[in-house]
Amino acid sequence: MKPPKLTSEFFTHLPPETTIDILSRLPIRTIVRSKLVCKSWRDLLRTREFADSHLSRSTSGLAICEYSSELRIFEFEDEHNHQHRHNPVTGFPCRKFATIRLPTAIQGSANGLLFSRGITRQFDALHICNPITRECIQLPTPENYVNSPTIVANGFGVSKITGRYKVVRVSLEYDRDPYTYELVGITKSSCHVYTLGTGKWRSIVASVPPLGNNQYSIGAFLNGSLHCSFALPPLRESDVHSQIVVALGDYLCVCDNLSEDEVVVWLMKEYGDEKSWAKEIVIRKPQFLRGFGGFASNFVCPVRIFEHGHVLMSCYAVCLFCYSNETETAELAHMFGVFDGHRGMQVMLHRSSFLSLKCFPMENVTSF
Amino acid sequence: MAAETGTPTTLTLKSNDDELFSVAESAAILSVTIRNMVEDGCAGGVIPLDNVDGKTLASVITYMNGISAIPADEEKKKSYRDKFLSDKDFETLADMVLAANYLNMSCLMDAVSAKIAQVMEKKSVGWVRRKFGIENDYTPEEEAAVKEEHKWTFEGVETDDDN
Repeated sequence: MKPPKLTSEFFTHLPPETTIDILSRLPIRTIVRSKLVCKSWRDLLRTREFADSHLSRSTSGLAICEYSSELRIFEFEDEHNHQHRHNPVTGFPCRKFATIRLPTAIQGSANGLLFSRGITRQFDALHICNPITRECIQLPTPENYVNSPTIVANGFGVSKITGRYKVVRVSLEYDRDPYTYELVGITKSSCHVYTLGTGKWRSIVASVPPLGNNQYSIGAFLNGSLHCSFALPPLRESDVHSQIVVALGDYLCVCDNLSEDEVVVWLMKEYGDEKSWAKEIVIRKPQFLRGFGGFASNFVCPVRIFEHGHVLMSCYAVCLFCYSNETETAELAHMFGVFDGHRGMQVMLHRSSFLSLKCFPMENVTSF
Repeated sequence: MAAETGTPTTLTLKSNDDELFSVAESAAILSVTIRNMVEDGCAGGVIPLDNVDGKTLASVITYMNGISAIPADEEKKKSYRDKFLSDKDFETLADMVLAANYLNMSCLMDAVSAKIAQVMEKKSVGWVRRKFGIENDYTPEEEAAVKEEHKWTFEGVETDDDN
């Protein structure tokens, strides 16, 4: 076979942006393997330009944390297809990046960076990692908390205004009623913000209303802001503790799982307008969700809406299921693994990226 | 009627191996490079395209005529592009992406880039080096180190270099 005429000089004739354009369309694992082709590709694939080009056209996927210790990353093949075909991208135990072995929860995802929290009674081990570039930053803990009960909630996202990556952390110390043991009265509240690249927490003065009993996350990241699940109109005042707010597409969303018979999905139809909360979907509980409602309810929340009214939903720690708004039926989504309710399973929408943590100055980046 | 609408202007393009092609100006100006020449008044006579050979230019002109005959309907344009590229081998695609880059034709560039990526998807590192004529500038030790660092991406990979 005669050697191709132009291809021998192919990439020398193409400007780097075109090479980036072509390579950024490949599946994630193929891209990483392409670093082996030659040094100039390896260097090109490390650039911010490549990461941005890839992010602009990549599809989203899922981050699943099981047993509070095992992380798995998936990539949707088609962003809109209700069959939600998916490709497993990678998976590894959290102890790969966390120095101390702790039960770990994922609490935020932004442009391929995952924010995780290893929980003990005395302090939190907070990490930002990129599962693809295998880089990690351990954040300093803003303050130790020893007074129980304390509720700490974290959130992670990109500021719409500055484009900077921030962790927001709210902690509230409560008094308990000595007889009923219920939480009454906040004795101390604080709010801290960590901007990636600055290497330090800063305390901000904010009036923090009572948070839900929510070790899960501070809540939804949408429109460049974080949203907490307090004082949401559709919920009965007393139920705030068992709700979380999530971002669903372009909407803020809350799920009500208190009933034994149904799950109600509320959407804030006009962003920022509290009067616009509306019941979007009412799901009759399938057998596999029964027994997971009521006062000690597990959080149910939609993860992603696909075409034709298909919604991928998670029941915290129990299962992933797919609900069809057309046929009004729910089925377990076994393609992401079978969960049995004992595995501390957590699911989060996560768009894998090649964004290197080394682009943040003042941070001690480790590889794993 | 012809007098009212004017006779369609025809341009003559010359490839780097001296083949001449006639193409309607309305189709040719899909190329920003050619459009700029036309607007600058440099398009009288023959337009030399020094970076494109005759075989590739013929193919690009087929594309220009085909896509400009489709009214503003992105779905139909997309399906034309898919069909146009479906029978092209890898060498032709590589030539076309270079031509599209030189001629500054973003829609063709985008489609060809996507097609090349699709072909590369399941290929081995060796295949990519061979096809693109890229020299492996790693020492064996460096190569082993890079492979070790990213070994998770090599697990369970099946390549189909023959297709």
